[in-house]
Amino acid sequence: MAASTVAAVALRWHDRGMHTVLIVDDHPSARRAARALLEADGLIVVGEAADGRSALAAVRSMCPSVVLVDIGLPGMDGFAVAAALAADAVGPRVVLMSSRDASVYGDRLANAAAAGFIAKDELAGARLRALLETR
Amino acid sequence: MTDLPFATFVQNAALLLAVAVVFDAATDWGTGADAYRGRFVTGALLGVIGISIMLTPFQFAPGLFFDSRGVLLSVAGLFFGAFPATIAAAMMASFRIAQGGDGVGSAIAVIAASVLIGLVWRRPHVATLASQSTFDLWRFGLVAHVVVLATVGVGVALTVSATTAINALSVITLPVLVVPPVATALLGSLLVNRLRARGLAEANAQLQARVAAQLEEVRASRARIVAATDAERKRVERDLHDGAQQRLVAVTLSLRLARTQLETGAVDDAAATLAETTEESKAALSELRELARGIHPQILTESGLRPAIESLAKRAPVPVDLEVDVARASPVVESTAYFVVSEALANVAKYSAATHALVRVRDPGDRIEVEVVDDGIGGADPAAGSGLRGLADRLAAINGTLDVHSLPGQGTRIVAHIPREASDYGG
Repeated sequence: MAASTVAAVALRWHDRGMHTVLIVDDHPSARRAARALLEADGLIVVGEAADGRSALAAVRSMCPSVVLVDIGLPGMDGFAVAAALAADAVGPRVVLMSSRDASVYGDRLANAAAAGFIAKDELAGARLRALLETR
Repeated sequence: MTDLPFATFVQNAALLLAVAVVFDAATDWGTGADAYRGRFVTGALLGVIGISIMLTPFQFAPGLFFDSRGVLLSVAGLFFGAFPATIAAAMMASFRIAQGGDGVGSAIAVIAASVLIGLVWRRPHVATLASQSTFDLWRFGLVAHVVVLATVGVGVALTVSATTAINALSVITLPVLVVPPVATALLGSLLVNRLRARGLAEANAQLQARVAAQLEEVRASRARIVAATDAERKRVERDLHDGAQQRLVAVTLSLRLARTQLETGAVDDAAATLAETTEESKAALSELRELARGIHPQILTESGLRPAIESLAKRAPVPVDLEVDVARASPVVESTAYFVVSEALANVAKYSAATHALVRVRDPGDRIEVEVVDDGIGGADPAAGSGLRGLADRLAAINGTLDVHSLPGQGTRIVAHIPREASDYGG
């Protein structure tokens, strides 16, 4: 599927009030599992990225409404991805995730340019939706 | 003063002893730009002592004087070298010329001959001055005074008459060959002792410097070992996080997915998800095993070095020949030998581009020798990477050694010697 088509589809879902999700994680198995779980929970996963730079490129081409990003990315980490996306006013909302405990990151999470944080093993469609609606 | 022979004798002895004080002072001038000024001052001081000696002669017989300038100048030539001795001799010769009177020529000849014999003797002995025995020095004094006597004889014969010369020599020969050589031996021994003390002090200073350098190296190595431990812990955390932890996250998510699928009646989907989940958890298990083996190889504890090294060789990406013949050793010795092989084979895999490697472990009894050879590109630098330096630190900590031979294009050969008795420091 060409990127423009994906974007068009994503925008259409978006117009209907559905969340379209980009998953950013450098671990393929975690990415795969997250995708399957979110799709089973009725969310639309429009793409996956393995690092921060390709995530930013994917956001431009796929226009997701939500970027679910792992904090512990190699190079540009999840906080940096969130900050880069926040600079764009009409950009997607960012949800950080990590397999490390939230307490590891302390104030950085509260100060992050993100809608919230989900522990990776607690990821679920309902949890993500709830997080996006409370903010 | 000539009517008090004992007093002049004591005065001469005291003046000769002053040479030792000058000798000690001469050490402090050191070398370099100041050295010539130092030698000049040394020579001038010796000259002053020499002139004082010339003012304090013995009277052997009426009209026949002798002093210990021969002892002073020969010892100055032998122990102080050309520059100070020549200055002293020049001052004494000038003084003698200024005094005038008979026998100026032969007196100057005696001065020149005394210095020369000292300098000639110095040439072959300069490196071994500190080991000259009292007898060696007495023999030197004897030879010097034979030369002095000959010079006096020839001088008197030329300037006065042969008969006077023979008469003079017949009176002074015996005392001159008895007393001054003994004085030379005593003064020389004093200076030799000074030299030995100086050598001892230098050796002591060198030893201290070496001990300080070793201590510094031990401190640096200890700091590196601590840093390596921290880095290792960080690596283990990273490996756990990136490996097993991610897989277990995936397993958790997949199990939840499977439950959702079962709840919605999608049994076939759930079965497929569970099959994937099983694979994922197997992979997590195998990564945990690998990590645990990296932390400590249980096979080493259970079965010893040979099976442990065999298992390392099996996992190496190039064929590895083994020549391992070793009895069980203490845990520290075995794990050190194991990690030498493990690190060396990891380097072979990562950097060497080798097609083949050889691991040889020998056990001569008091130590274990580990050798890892490859046919790769060589050029490994123990100072550059943390791996080989970490090994070297580890070996140094148990009195072992690590040698790395790795010329570019000639493969790499790593040899470690691990003493068996260095085993009880822990672990």
